[in-house]
Amino acid sequence: MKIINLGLIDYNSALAIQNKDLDDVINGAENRLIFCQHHDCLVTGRRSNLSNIKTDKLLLTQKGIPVFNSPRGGNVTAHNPGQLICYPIINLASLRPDLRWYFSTLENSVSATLDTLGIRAELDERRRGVWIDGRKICSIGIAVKKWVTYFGLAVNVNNDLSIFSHILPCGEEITMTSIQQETGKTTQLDALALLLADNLSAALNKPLKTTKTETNL
Amino acid sequence: MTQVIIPELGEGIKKAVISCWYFKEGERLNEGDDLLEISTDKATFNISSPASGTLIEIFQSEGSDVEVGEAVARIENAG
Repeated sequence: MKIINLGLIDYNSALAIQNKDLDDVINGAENRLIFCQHHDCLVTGRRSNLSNIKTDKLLLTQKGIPVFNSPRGGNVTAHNPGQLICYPIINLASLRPDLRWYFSTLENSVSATLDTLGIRAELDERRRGVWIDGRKICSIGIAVKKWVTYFGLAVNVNNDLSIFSHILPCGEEITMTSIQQETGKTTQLDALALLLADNLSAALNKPLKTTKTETNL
Repeated sequence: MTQVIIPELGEGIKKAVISCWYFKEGERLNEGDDLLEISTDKATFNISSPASGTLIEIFQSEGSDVEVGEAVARIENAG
């Protein structure tokens, strides 16, 4: 498993890297986990309804919050610095071609990571993502091409949650939370990324071999 | 003639929605080309063409609900 840490990067640059890595893995390259943070933005998925963006687009532009359309599943979500994003590029055909198993693997890995920080997470297959007493701490939305996954998950760590006031996250009136909000402490994103990488790698049943770290978060 | 079938996506996943077709009826395509995208609540899934040839007929349009195992198009094989 290759671990790539892009640090803080704009959405479209990360998407270009993700698409390149997707092609590479489709063509037989090693599976990888791409970690990054994005500048403020809203991102829609295939199930997005534009009415789930509550703030006028002109006002969002004035606030410096662009809206991007993506080909992943799910509804609209928000990204900003302090949120840890993981884009696993994984060939499920050679592991287990089962999307339900893959979603559970992502969620369980995040849950195990939160557990080491003393946060007890809740999982519910009817409401994908990771929850803390009904508050959402991690959103998930993926895309799959030739059984290779891309896009993935976003964990709220130290980020300003007010950005979610511009949307109905995942199309629902839900309360978002973060690791900082739950623990009262600031968490280092690079350390958290390595912990999540360990848990994801173990859950995907592949030995973790950190072959590359491009930048620090 | 080759039929395009919605594949097994995973345990318990029986339905999806067609997000888009990348080809139109009458167009030629190669085996492995991305032919259509389907979506579930949290995932999109590209289905590749199972054969080279001409896309003769699309049975289900964009936005339609489809079931795993359902035929959604047919391809007249090349050659």
